[in-house]
Amino acid sequence: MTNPEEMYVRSKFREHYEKAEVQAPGEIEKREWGVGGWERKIEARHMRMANPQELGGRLVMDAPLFISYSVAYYEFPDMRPMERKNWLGADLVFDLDADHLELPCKNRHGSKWVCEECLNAVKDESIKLIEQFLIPDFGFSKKEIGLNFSGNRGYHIHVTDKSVRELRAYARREIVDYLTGTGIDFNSMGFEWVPVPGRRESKLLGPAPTDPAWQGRIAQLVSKLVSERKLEEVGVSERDARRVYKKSEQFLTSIRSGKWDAVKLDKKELFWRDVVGKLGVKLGDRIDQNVTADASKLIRLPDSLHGESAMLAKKISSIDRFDPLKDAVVFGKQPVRIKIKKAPEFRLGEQTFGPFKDEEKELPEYAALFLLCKKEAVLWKS
Amino acid sequence: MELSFYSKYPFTRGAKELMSSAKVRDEFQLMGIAKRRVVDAIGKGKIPLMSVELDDSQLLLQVASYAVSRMIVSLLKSRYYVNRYAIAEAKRASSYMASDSDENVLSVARELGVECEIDNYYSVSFQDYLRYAPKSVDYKLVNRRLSRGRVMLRRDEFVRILEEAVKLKIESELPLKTEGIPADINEAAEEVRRSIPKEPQPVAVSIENGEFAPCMKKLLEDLKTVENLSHTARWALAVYMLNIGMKVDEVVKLFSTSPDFDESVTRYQVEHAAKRGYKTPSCASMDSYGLCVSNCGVKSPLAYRRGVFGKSPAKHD
Repeated sequence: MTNPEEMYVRSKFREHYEKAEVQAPGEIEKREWGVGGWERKIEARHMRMANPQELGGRLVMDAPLFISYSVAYYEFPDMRPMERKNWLGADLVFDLDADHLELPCKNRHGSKWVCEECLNAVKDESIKLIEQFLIPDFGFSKKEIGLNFSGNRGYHIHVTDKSVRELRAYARREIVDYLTGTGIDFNSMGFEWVPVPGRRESKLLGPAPTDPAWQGRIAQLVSKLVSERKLEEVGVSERDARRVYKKSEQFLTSIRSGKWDAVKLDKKELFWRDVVGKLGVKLGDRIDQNVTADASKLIRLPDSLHGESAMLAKKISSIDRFDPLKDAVVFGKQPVRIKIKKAPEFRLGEQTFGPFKDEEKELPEYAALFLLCKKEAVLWKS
Repeated sequence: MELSFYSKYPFTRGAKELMSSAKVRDEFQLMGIAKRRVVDAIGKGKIPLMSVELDDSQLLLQVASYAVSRMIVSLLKSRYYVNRYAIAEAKRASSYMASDSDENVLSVARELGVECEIDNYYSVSFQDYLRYAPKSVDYKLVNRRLSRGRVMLRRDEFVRILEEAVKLKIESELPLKTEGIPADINEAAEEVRRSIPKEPQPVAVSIENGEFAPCMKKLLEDLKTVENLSHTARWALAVYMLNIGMKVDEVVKLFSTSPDFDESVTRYQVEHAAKRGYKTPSCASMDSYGLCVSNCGVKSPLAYRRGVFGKSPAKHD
């Protein structure tokens, strides 16, 4: 550890861990642990911790820049290769990352930085996952769902209920497909063209807003788009949309009983893609989703520090009021002198900083650590 | 429970208890029924249903024949035969459940650890559903009604789920320890072995100048190691093999190692796929079927092969 920035960051992390209380995950002795440093988020893994005291000791002694544990429970968490660990089960964990949302703001700030816009979007996505899927459809109760900030760009959602532990990779994949709407089938949603007796046309039946699961969700969205006059958002042509709006009351009544005749679905494929796209949870591309479905991945320890931001992977009890850029900041305000290479304007706590380019600055400790961790600054010793 | 229940569902605990106390009088007849049960299960893939006019002693023989069949199957010492037997037993139970009372079907479900509620639909927990539902597009969770953790099913779908649970239960209980099995059952097992088809040998598959995509290699391995592949998996593999130029006969032969192989059904399906000119599923589809095993950076399993195909062998100077 020759790098002065890493030494400084670690010393600050150590100070934090000396006074902070970090709760260990359930059945700690069955988890595999991994720690990371300046170069990589996971530099060493296949470690076992016997009890919460050992974890507490390691945090202070090693002051890791990243610390994660397996969502899986193993009989022998420190054995390798993986097969010898003997997998006993795993929590169900979802990793929502602003970077996966592919928002326009990413073109401005890239993957390294975040902004209010993408942090809000990923927060909305997390709320959607919990309140529209995990609770009503999957039947989990609020107390079975743990939520924490990732420490950088997103949120982690942990379902630790015993009933999910034994789900195999295939089952986890199916759950991800359910959340993202992958493989959803028009006919399975109750859509059906039924011939009208004595006439050459047929009429469209479909789901009602009171139906459970995806069926109801689709009917609710379309009803909402009709009353808000936003049908164009799901690929219905302006002309057809206007026709629906003229009789919107009648339409809303008929959709309540599953009659979809009034929506002209000429561009069925487009409609379908847009509707499912709007309703599904955005868990990134197929590869990112595989990570979510992976029953052997390592996930950041809630309430530990993130070595790319010096922010806390803070546990959240009420997400609506949670402001990561304020609530996950833990370091103090004493001034630290740094040389900044480059940074866009950013907010931390109540204060906005930057933009910076090749300048020497005195910033509050939490902001200085943030830039040091981003590797866009070095310590400035005069 | 009545004797007729146990004769239909001999894998239940009650049936087992019954056998520990009941006494079968005609051992010779019992051995005959048991042998036929195993030969039918493994040879034909189907155990004929019982005559409806059996008296109590005959019903008892049916229950007992299941117990003896399990010993015979264990003595055959083959995972392939065990799987094939379990499939046939599960299908037999499934046929009975299809026309049995809800009360009886629910008793079987409880026995299998599948908890069900009936309220317009037959609903099971999504965990049980994901464990036992066929791995096919029709049964994808996203296309199901899922509310408060429960998947709503039609009766026939519920029975299909239970069939899989029966199969897994029987498979997991076999083979039994074979030490101490009486000599007459050992003899019966040898007789059975002579009247059932030989365990199929893995078919060596190779294509020149190219490599199978990792997902297809995995499916081929699974076929050889006698696991029961889902319909979707078989379909994907068959279409892939046809797409790379394999003949229908060769593809059918490929599947002959599968425990639930039925040549006429397989041939019909492969011919159908060939006639309709189905295309190999894209990587995205393979992934959503849970069949993607590697991140090879192509869009279709076929492209993987072409990629390797096009390249000259790597040279290390």
